[in-house]
Order: sequence, then C-alpha cells, then structure tokens
Amino acid sequence: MASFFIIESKLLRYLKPEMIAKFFKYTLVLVLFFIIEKQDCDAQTIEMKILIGGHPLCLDSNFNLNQTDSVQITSFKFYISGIEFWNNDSLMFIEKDSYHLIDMSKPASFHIPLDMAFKFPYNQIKFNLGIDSTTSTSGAMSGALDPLNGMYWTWQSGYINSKMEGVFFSKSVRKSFEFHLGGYQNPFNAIKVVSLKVNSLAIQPIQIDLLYFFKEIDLNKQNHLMQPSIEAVLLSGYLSNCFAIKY
Amino acid sequence: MKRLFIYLIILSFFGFVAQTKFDLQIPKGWPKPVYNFKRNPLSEDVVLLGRALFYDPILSKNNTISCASCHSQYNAFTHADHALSHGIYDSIGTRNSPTLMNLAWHKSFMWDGAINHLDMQALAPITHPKEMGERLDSLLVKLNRSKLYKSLVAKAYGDSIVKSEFVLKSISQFLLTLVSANSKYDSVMRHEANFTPQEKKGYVLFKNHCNGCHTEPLFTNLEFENNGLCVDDNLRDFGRLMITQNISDSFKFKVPTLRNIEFSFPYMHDGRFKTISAVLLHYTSPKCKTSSLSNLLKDPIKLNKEERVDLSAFLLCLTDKEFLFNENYSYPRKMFLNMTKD
Repeated sequence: MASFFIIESKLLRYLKPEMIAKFFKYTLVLVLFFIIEKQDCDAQTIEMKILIGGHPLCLDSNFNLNQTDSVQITSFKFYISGIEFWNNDSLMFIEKDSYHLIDMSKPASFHIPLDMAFKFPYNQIKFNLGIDSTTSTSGAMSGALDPLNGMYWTWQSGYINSKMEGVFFSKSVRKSFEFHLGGYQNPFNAIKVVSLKVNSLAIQPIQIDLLYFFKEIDLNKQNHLMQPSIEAVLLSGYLSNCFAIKY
Repeated sequence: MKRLFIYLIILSFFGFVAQTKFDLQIPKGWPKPVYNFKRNPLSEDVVLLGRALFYDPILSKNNTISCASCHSQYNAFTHADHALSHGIYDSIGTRNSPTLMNLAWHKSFMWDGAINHLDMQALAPITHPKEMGERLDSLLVKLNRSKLYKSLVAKAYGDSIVKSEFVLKSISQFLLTLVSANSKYDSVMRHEANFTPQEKKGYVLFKNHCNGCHTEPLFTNLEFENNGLCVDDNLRDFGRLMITQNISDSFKFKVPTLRNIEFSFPYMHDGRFKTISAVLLHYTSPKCKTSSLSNLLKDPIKLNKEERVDLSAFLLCLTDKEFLFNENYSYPRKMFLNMTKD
C-alpha cells in the first residue's frame, strides 16, 4: 500500500492542477457509480428443480410410468447456455460466458448464480438446452466445457447436450437405456431454445419434469441413442418441453 | 531500495504471463491459416510441453503407446510400413494413420473429418480402445503425479495443476509448428532452384491431372472425395458418410497432402498401395465408379508409362528433408533424460 502512495505522489508532481481536478471528478463519479451499483446489485440465482411426475427426481429409485412399466434414472446431466432475460421484445441481459452443466448427482449445480449489475424489468427467460455450433468448433476449453466432464464425444467432435442413463422395467423385463443427445451440424443440430414466461421479479425455480419426456417415447423400441441423428434432434425437443416455470 | 521493491512487485505481475513467443513463419504465398492462434497463442514453453506429451507413452493406458508410435517424424509423421495402424495390446485399427504437417491450414481432421478442431484431435486416439485406450481423467491423474509435467505446466502456464485444456492446447501448439514448406518444389517456386526436364514434364502433368484435388501449395484441397477405390469387404469403411449420414458422402475420404509422399507410404485411407506407381496405376483405371465418385475422375486420367515416371519424378520433389530431420520436431531426448533414475 505504501508503495502505491509513493507512485501516486510522484505522478501528482508531473500533473497540472486542472488535470488533478478532472481526475478527482472522475474518481468521484466512479466511486458513486460503484456505490449505486452495489446497492442495486441483484444477486439473482436461477434454480433448477428436476422432477418426475411432479415429485423430486431421485437417482436409482423406481418411478412407475404406468401399470406395467417403470424407470430408474441412474444419471442425468445437461448443458444450459446463453442465458438471456427479455422484457417483451427488448433484450435486457445476456450472461457472459454462459455455460452451465447441471448434473443430477451434484446438487450444487442446480443453482445458477447470475452476475447482474442492475435491476431491470423482465418477463421472459431464454436459454439453450445444449452447446451452440460456434462454441462446439472453438477447440479446448475448461470449466463446464472441459471434456473431462464426460459431456464431449471424443470420436466425433461435439458436446453431448444432455445425457440420461438408467434402466426400465416393462412387465418385469429389465432393460437399460442410454440417451446421449447432441449434434451441432444441420440437419442434426440438436440444440434447443427454451423460452419461459416469468410474471414476477423474483424468478421462480425452473422445473424440469422428465415424465413429459418419457410420455413421448417408447422405451421398448427406443433405448439407445449415442450419436447425432434425427432421433436425437427429436428427443432433445421432448426434453426441452419438460422445462417450465409454475406459479 | 524502495524503488527496487516497487519494480520487483511490478515485475512479479509480469512474471506469470511473460512467455517467449514462438514465431511461426507463414510461408510466402500460402493462404491464411485456419487455426485461431488468438485462442491459443504459441509460446516456446507450451510447444515444449506439447512436444513432451507427443512423444510420451504416458498418454496410453499401460504407458506403451505414444502419438509418435503411429506418427514418426522420418515418415512425415505417419506409421512406417503399416497399412493399418496398430495401438495398445497390438490392436489393429481400421485406418492408415495420416501424415502430420501444415495442420494450421486444416479445417477438419481424420480421414472422415470427424474432428472439427485441432485441439480436440488428440482426444480421439487417447481414448480409442484400439489406439491408446486411456481415459482422460486417469491421464490427468498420471500427469499430475509427474514431476516433469508439473514443472513443464508451471513454466508454460504458470499453473500448478495439469488441466485437460493445457494438455490439448499444448499438443496443438507442437503440431502447429510442424510446417513443411522447404522441398525442392518450394525452392523452384522461390526461383532458387530448377526442375530437371523430367521433373518439369511431371509438374505439367501434375497441374493437368492432380492439382484439382491435391491443390498447391498445401497439395490438398482439404475436401472429401471419392477416388474410385473399391470398399474393403472386411473393413466396410464408408468414410465421410459415417459422419454426415448423407448418402452423397459415401466412400469419400479427406484428400491427403502429397508433401513428403516419398516417405509417407503406404498410401490411401487403408494403406492398400505400397508404392507411388501403384497409386498412379489406380488413377488411370479406378475400379469402383459409384455415384459419389469425384467429378474430376469421371473420365479416367490418361497417363502412359513414361508419363507416370515423369509424374513420380515431380512427386519426389515434394520431399522436405529439413522437415523430416528437423531436430525441433524430434524426440525430446534431453528433457526425458532428466527423468531417468541414475
């Protein structure tokens, strides 16, 4: 700290008084700016609630889909990217470096803290379910996009937008299922935009009810998808339809 | 004394970021590289880290196979004398390992273009059960236990932890330095040497018959083409089709560069031809003309015996000895020597 003042006093010697006045004016404005910003700073957090049939999803536990079939989900992970807040037709906020990996086995990942500088009105939240093509072709990255997370195809470049694995029992016959949904190139671009209406300033948790997904597919016929395909695009759409905010 | 103290503080901030920049020379008249150097600026220490990783069998599950096992320098970084490359536990793969050079200009990798970025390329052989058979997480555990890699990463990135991003980007950096642009052909183009009359005839033939796909100066148009090879019944390799699932891409493979062709035998995606003359014979009569056959091969290339010899003479002008024997690209003996137990 002492050394900082030495530099400053030496600097002041070379500056004209007008410049010093200007400097202080700007400093004052800056300080005020930060104080105001601090007060208004809205530490928003988006919460994800993963459900099945309206009940919190528990890994490895049985859920009855109907009278004969039931599922056990053993792992569920997905990417959320490009979070945006809209007010009618105006874009109010874009999250920088917005890539989040939500992992059912890591409850901490259900909370997405957002770094918002100002309070603003909004009535819609938009984000991608998956990773966009530009990011998918930009090379090695760390954090949520680290291939170490097991959400990257090593044999054919591209992120796995969502990964759901488990077993299902149909008339007491046990089968496994694995859905690794991804693909960034047309016609197999599996990224889905999720757009949710919000009607209050406090964001309600985003609910992801996987029952809607299982209602759309027949696990007896379709239980393994591990590469970009038309089916992966279709199933990604079913998964994106599971997202809702309920009031 | 105080002033010295201040300077020391300021210097310490720079200490972590100050790296010796690596100056990659872009050969005159070449197109702009495709690789985005801004996201991965070359530095000598990072190139060195990448070079160590490239030559170290630590990348494989049982520490037996390195990148260089299938990409040896004196074969223009392909696999000597193996039609199909073999990896861990003597597993035989399904394709001939490609040469590694001038990769900054490539927009996709692998014979079928499965990989979209040089940084992500290394992941494929590292994790493939028939190549290195390793898991990325286990590899990082091994590297983080290694004194050599801890110190190389500290030097290259100022970080005490070996991260996957460092591993992938540093291998990219080493690969990006593998530029071959000093063959006899290049000297002739720079007006520093002359072709022999035979080579000159071969160059004219090349311009007329080959340049459409093996486009100068990279000697590849970097596209995918079906060159009329019949599908191997055992391998059943449909090439680009398996990536795009588009029927018009069947039997298409990435056009390989012809640079250093003298040393990169055997040829084709499955290494079926051992000699240049066998390759030229194929082009004069492609056996399997399926609907996706390259337009440029719809009419077979007409080359008589003498012309094939002339063309071969030109192709040998693409040998770049400076590249093949460049010590900056070779096994980092000194670095690994320090790690041995005396």
